[in-house]
Amino acid sequence: MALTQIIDEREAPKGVNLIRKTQSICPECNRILPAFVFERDHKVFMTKTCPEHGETEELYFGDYDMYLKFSAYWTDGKGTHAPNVKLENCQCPANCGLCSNHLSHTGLSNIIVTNRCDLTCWYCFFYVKKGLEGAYVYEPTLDQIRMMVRALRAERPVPGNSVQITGGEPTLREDLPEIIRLIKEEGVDHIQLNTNGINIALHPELAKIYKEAGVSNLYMSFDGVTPKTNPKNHWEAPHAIEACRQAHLGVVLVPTVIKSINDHELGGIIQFAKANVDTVRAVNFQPVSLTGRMSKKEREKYRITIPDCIHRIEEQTNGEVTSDSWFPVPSCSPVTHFIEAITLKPQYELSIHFACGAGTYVYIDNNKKLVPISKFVDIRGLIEFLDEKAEEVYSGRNRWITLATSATKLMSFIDKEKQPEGLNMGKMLFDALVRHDYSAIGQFHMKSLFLGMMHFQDKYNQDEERLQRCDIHYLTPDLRIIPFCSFNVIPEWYRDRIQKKYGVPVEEWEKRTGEKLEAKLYRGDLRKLKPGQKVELSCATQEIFQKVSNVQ
Amino acid sequence: MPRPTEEAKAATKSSFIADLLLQPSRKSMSIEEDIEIRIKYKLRGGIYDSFTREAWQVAWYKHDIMLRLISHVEVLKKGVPSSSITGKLKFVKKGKLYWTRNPDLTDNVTNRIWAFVVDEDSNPRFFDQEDKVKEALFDFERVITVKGSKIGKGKKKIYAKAEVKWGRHIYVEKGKVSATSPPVEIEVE
Repeated sequence: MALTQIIDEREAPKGVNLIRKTQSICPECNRILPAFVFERDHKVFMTKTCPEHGETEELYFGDYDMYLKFSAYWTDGKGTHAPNVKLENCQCPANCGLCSNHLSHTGLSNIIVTNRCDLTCWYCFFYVKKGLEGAYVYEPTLDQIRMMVRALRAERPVPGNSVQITGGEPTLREDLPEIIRLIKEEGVDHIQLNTNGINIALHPELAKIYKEAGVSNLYMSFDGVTPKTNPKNHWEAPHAIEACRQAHLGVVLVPTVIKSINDHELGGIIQFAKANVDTVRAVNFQPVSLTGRMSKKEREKYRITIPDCIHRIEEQTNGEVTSDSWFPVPSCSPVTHFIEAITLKPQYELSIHFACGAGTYVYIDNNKKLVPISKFVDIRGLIEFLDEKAEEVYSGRNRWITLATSATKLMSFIDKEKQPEGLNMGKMLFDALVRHDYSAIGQFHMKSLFLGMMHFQDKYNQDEERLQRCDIHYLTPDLRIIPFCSFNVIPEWYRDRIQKKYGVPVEEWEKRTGEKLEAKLYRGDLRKLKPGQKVELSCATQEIFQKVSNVQ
Repeated sequence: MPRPTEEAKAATKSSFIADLLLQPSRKSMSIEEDIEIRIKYKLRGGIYDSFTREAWQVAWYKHDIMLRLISHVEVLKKGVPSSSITGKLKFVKKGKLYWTRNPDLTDNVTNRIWAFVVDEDSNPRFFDQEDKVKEALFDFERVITVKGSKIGKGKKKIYAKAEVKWGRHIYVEKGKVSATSPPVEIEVE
């Protein structure tokens, strides 16, 4: 497909509040189109018109007020000074890899170690399906993986330092511990393993093996607390978490949220996480990206955005996690700027677009209630203060004097009366921002949950301004570093092409390995109870029930 | 941040507060009542003139991406010495630079960078014209409410003091300007 930009002379949509104009793509032909982002009925929409395929209007952000609050934190990042693709003219979304026009360094890099999976979820496009024409098994070699990690570490001014091993189902690779050690050897501090947890539930010893090899935490799919909403691993997840508990390996739960399917269980998922807070560190909700061709009616049925999830969480936690306790990811930038000003070194910066992600911390108090951090810390005031102090240093003030004066002022942002008992937030802030000692934050994690949102794009809501700021990237064997929302939104340009180039046909893989692709499929062993057998800690619903009963 | 250029220093030196005005909503009031007082001014001179689209391009590429204007505004009562009615009120406005994908504003080659304003209430404000962006950033207008008891009984002359400061940037050196409004008479019964 030739890459053609259409100069759209069409006027902005009438009778609406136009917010901004950006660029997007046609969901049919990938042509770059001007797009209008506008407000209607307190919601934010995007519309774009392809001369060949007509207009596409899509819900962009489900709450206009929250959109305004979030957009005030818009902060462009430092980008990467060691790009693999040098371009004079910006050509998003073509030629991703990273190019010199990209605005965020890699925050988290994905390495697909296999596209084989032990499940066959109907909605998933990530795994190899036998029988399909052009089905390839993609499994980069250890040497390829090493070179991919070196490409990540070569990023400047901030070398990539966080890797997610993903698939397919990565635990299907028997050499996974070797892969983990290899990534560690290359100097990566944080490694998370994206898994459905089934293999770990079946073979609990794997958790210890992965932990010892260097995995920091599991990033485990978990779509709901009932078998209906989470057919993938409802019965297995508690076993996987127990294995991680024994291995002292943290777990992040990752629900993909689909309207009308599981959006009524967001509170239940948080309750489940709370019941396992000694092991579960975070819940990272991912509003669904709609892939494939879908009618507007179908999209309206399933489409959910970050504010919609945030409001549902408030309702489903009985008002404990309020909507105003969430902040967009780039609101962290002043923290980075402050530490950079003090240390005079470029720091990791989460400079993604404000509409891509949000988060909050919730602390579990002695009454087992969730207390968002914003209830006892003046987050907005703290952010402003750090911005001001960073600017003072950049304007020539002695950084040590700034640091000394900041240290005493930090305490004023904490409401000690509202702070949950046993928590010393002031000390934690002092240690992190002044002493750069993050061990106290580890203690905070033991009694708290990070709640996050990450809304990956699709062809209907794709926004070039978001793509250009993406910091979740894929490492590929051709040593490119490709933004998530290019890699998966236009798979025909990126994911499929790369997997075909570096993969082998299924038949050849079977011949080479002597294995059948379907031999590793999960047959639901943990779901088959013998007659009369008591269900004990073996499904999410049961576990919540037990933990809640214990509390009462 | 690189050392300030002579142009940046000159921009700061020539900056000033213009047209500082204090406008009470009425001339007289009772001591139990509240009164609304509008305070407005314009920040002009070098800082205003240097915050141009061309400067945005240059600054953004040095990762100099935000101009923060910190204003301290105070309403005082004339006397010897003058006394403060409101105390110093702090307001922060930001001009934030970003790479826009708006095809009306950019060709994505030489002109990529645009600015939006985050006002004193943390609301983002987007404009398509450079002048509007500058107006939103450099023109100040707030209405504050004051109790009659704070002013005191009798005919009083009140006035406003404003001070604006900013940090070092590629296009303007750090600086501070201040001004005092003409006094306005108000009667409190």
